Amino acid sequence: MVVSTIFRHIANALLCAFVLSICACTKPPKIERGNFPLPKGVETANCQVGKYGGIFVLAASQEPKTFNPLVATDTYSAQAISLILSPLVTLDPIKDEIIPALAESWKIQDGGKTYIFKLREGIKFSDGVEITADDVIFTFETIFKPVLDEKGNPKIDKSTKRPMLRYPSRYAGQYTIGGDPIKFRKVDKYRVEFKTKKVYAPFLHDIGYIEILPKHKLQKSVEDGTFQQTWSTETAINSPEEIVSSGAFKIFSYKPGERLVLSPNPHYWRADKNGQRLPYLDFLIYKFVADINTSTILFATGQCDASAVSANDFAWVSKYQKTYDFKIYERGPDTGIYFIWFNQNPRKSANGKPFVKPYKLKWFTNPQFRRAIMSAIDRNGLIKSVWFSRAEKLNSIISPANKKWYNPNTIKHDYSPEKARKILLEEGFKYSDTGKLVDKDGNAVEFDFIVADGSQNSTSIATTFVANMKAIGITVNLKFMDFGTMISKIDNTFEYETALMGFTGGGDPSGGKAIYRSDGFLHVWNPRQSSPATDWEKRIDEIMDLQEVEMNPTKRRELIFEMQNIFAEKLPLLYLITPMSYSGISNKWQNVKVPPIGSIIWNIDELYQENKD
Amino acid sequence: MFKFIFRRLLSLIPLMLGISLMVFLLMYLAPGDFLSEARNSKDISPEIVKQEEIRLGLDKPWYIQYGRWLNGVSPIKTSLLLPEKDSAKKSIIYFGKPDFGYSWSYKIPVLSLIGQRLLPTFWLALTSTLLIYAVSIPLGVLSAVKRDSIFDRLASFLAYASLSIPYFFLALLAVLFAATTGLFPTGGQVSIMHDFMSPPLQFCDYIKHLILPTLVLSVGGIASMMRVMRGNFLDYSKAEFVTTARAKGLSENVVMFKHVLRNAINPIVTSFGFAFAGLLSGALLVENVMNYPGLGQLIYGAIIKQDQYVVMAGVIMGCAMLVVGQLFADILLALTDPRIRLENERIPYKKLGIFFSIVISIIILLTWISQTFPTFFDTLKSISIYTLCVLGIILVILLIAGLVWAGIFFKKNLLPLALKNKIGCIALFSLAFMYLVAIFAPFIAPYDPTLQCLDKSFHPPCAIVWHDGSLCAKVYENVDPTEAKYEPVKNQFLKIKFFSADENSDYKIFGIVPFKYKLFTADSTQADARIFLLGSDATGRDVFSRLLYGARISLSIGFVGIAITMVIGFIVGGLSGYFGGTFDFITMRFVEFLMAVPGLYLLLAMRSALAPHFDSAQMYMMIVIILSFFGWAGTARVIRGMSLSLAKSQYVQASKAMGQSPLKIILKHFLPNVLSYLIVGATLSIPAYILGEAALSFLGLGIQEPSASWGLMLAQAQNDTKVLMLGFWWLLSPGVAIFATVLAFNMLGDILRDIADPKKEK
Repeated sequence: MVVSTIFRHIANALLCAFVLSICACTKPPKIERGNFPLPKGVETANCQVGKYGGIFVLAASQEPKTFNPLVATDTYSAQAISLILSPLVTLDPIKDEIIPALAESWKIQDGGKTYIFKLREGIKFSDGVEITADDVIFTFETIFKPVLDEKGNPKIDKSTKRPMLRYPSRYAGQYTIGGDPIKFRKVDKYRVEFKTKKVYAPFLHDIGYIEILPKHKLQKSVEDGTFQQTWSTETAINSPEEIVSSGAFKIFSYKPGERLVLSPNPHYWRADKNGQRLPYLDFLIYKFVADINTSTILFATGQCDASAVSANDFAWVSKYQKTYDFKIYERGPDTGIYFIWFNQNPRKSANGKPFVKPYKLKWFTNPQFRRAIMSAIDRNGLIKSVWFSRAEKLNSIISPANKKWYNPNTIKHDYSPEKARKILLEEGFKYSDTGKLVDKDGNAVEFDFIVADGSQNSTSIATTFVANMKAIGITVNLKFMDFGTMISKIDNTFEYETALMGFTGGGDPSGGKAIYRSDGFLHVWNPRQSSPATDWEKRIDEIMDLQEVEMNPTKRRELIFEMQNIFAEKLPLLYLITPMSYSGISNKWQNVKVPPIGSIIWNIDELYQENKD
Repeated sequence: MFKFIFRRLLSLIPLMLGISLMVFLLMYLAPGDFLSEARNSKDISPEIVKQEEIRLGLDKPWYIQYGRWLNGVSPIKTSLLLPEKDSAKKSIIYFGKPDFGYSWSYKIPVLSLIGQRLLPTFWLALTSTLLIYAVSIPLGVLSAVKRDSIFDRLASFLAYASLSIPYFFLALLAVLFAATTGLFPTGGQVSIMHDFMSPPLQFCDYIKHLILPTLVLSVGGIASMMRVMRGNFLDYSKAEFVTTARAKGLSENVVMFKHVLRNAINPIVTSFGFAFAGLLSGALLVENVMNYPGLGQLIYGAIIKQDQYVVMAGVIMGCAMLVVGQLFADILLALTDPRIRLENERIPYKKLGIFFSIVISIIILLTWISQTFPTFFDTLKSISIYTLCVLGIILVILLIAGLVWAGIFFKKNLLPLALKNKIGCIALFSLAFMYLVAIFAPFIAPYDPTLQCLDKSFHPPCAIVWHDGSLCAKVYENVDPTEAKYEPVKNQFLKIKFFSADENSDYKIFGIVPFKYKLFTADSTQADARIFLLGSDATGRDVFSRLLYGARISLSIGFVGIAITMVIGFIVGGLSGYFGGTFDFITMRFVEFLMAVPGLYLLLAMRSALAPHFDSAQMYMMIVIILSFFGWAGTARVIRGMSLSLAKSQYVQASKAMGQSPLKIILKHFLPNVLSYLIVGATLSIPAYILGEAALSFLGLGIQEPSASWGLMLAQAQNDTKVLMLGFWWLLSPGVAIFATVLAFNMLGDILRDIADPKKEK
């Protein structure tokens, strides 16, 4: 009959498709490395000599939004760009010190106010054009390029009294030291000089933030005003060769929503001891997936080569270690900090309503009250139940992962609801007949608690906090909202009472200025103060100023330690926990060096495969 | 024909205008904006954020922002709306290419972004539609031919079952299947090595990645299409021409496949366009869970990130596809079926004029108000919450009255018949059981749904044994805390105490009678001795208790929602049927507008706009309101049709002549006539509400912790991979609960329909 014949055809077609799809594995094309002679200034990598070949696959839960370093604001774009473009200097995560990149060496003069960088001689962008001091100057000129008025003079922003920038980026703020932009000058073809207004201790660290832009490719767009649209994802899709590279890789192809394929830069400035130009890999592929969970599943089932594994997932991912031949390294605590805080903003909104009800503000600004709340949070229980004991209590505003700056001797607040009750009673709070906590004036202690939705673990923390507070007679109303809403409440409308959030950490403590200083915009409990509200906030402002000009590392460290002590004692932020971090990498890769913090594939250019299968 | 097509396409313009305005307003009302993330970044200074704000035009009021967008899209532009520096270069009115704007997060034109994502979604929808037709038509025909055989019964049970599985739950299971077996890719449109393949292999690669999403997406479609096919086939096999054919002595095969099949298949094949377009926008959830890089995933992400222009263009695209799909369906039907003519009535210019002037004057009024009173919208926001509350109370009174009446009617007319049917009986009793359990949850559930036990997270369900003369639960010990592995302790048992007094309970039956007993508790003095009938979750809360409390939300949401829908649908439909004319025209255009909107997208946008103003308890009401906002349109349309014909009947004419008020006529004469339709319709659409709540909560947009709802509990299994990978299967029990409830409602609704349908022979 007709129907059955149709069925037979369909079945045949499906079978064919199935059989074909099983043999759907093909060899990638041979990669042309060009065999260009090594430049004079080549860096010889101090690693085991490997051989060419291999495809390294990574899963990423978000796509790069742009390949333009001055436009990128998110980590995913920054990560992709860092593989394509090199900065002057970079951080060696193993030794935790600044090492040369495009700059071969540098001199510090003038008591720390002048830096002269010497570029590697003869190194080239991936299209064969030499990298010179002009490119460095071009990069910094673009950062500080002003908007011009009709007469050709820079327009001045009325509020900041600084020239308005044509291409505003975070770098302009970063390289404005002591109120003035850093000065830069070409000394000769391979030398550039930077001058700062005052001594700035983390200068060398900070100068490595910006990748050097190729003048010959980008100058036109900087001039005609289309700079922010150049090197967009569209460029990468349609003409990847336009995005020239000075790093280990260049873009081979980009398919949005699917993957980014990188191939070796034939003019890369590093080579191994045998004079083979790095990287060894044929391809580096980023596969884009819906979320972190999917990328973890891909790694655990051997479909990609390396991945961060969260403490939450370690238990099950480790079970696949034998089957898919990978290894998971324990990396110690995470660099981020996670905390709960009370809104201590004493100001009023435009229509005269205080942001926080005055009687509640009285509780929130009382350090003893905050200490009591801190003692009532069962962090041990959370660590045990949610993280299966793969987390640590956080006791300082700097995570223990940041070994160089972490102060291990801050005051610790252990879990003790009894102690919490005792402190509260001492402060004049009372318990009503129904067991509810009331303050001196008879107001029941009750507050709203806002949390960004989406993460299972923050939900667990939030519900546990509510239960813990219930245990000491405090009613907490949990409110979930999307991240954008939460930020606008914290940053803009200030209409909230308590919130849960985290900041990524690591790096130099100067990077946290916006959090620590009382005029900082991330000083979340009371941001952008015109003068510090409390004495201890004043002291912290002083410390932040002092440490920036302190060139002696030990003394600088002491200052940062003091700051951490103050925060741990006054508790504007109630620290929660920091999960252990883990990274896994497939065993087929050689030259793997696991640093204490940061990406496990920081030396991706040195990785190679012993036996190609 | 061309005139018809032209008119339909022309009608797209006001539709698009309306939808774009609605979406834009919703996006605007949602707090925070695209720059929220930048604002919270340690290394982006507020000055940069400010400058970006100006560049994106976010500092302007909404009507200017919307005006600019419209100006960009329209081919006829005016320079009045352009930013100052650009406006000087152009004349006041000029022509230009339609421009849908830039994606702020991808920094490329929206159209090219959507173009990239449209194709994968297109293929997915196409393969799913093809699969649905290829499977459901033969199955439907077979089960109609072999009516009441075992095959038929099995097929219809499977159809019920597959209609009752939540999409996202199935997608979740599919991803798990793909990940653990490695047979299928876990997402994406092509594999990593795709670029290095030869063209035929590339083709196979596409197919391989399409298999699982296609299967998941078409399961529901196959089931419903099969039922329609079966019904159609049965209807036609009773037609007179079939009897004639049989009487002429034609063989049964010829009768069935030449006469019946051709007629029965016609409406189904022609609705291809519609089904296809529906899947295009319906793929959002599947694309998201299964990580398929299509339009739905893009728009979902854009809504979350508030990437305005992408959302606008995406929603409009989805809506245009729906309309065009519908158009195709109509044309195909007209081409294949000579009995059907495309409606060719004259365009009612006058009514259209009134309609548009009302819409335009509302827009102008809004613009004027927001310009003269800048704080108006803030006040409106706070006022609207209060009005909603007042309206809500009125509605609740109406609803209770409606429900009681419907209940009495149901008991008198439908219940006895439903009880005669075996399946109906099972469905009714299981539903009654579930509702009873939900009502008495505080008595039956051993623990408070928020009570934690941090020492016993992910505790497996306790085995219940007979020991020492009483019912006991085994005691478990966490043998490996690093992966929450529990094993029963030998010779240790927890006695179960029934009807134990519980002093702490403040539970009152129906909120009145205090009741201080629990059905069962652990007979132990230890504070953390727990009996986990269905295990515990990440913070050691009892899943069984949460399931019961969650049932209160998940089960009632359908009832409340459907009550709202039916009341509004009935009132609007009844009135427009009664009055006809301009009122009818305007309401029906509004109804069509609501029906043309791609629901899920708008649902998401609406939720993010409204949610911040409500807390967790109010969120429940909000979800009901959002869901019923879209639900009433369909009911109103059917009721309007019914009341149009009722209005012409003699007794209605008579009571009109006697001077009875319209409301009285509607309540006294219309309502009894349409009540059975309303009840059947309600039963059949309750599952949509249950699934809708589950889907919203699953996406994290519905009921919030620490409250419990089934969708929310399932979200835990999706968000926390270790739940599935370490085999904490008991956390999937809410999925089973949803499935069982929806199945029962579907079966009951079907049986009620058969009872209420006079055509069906008894």
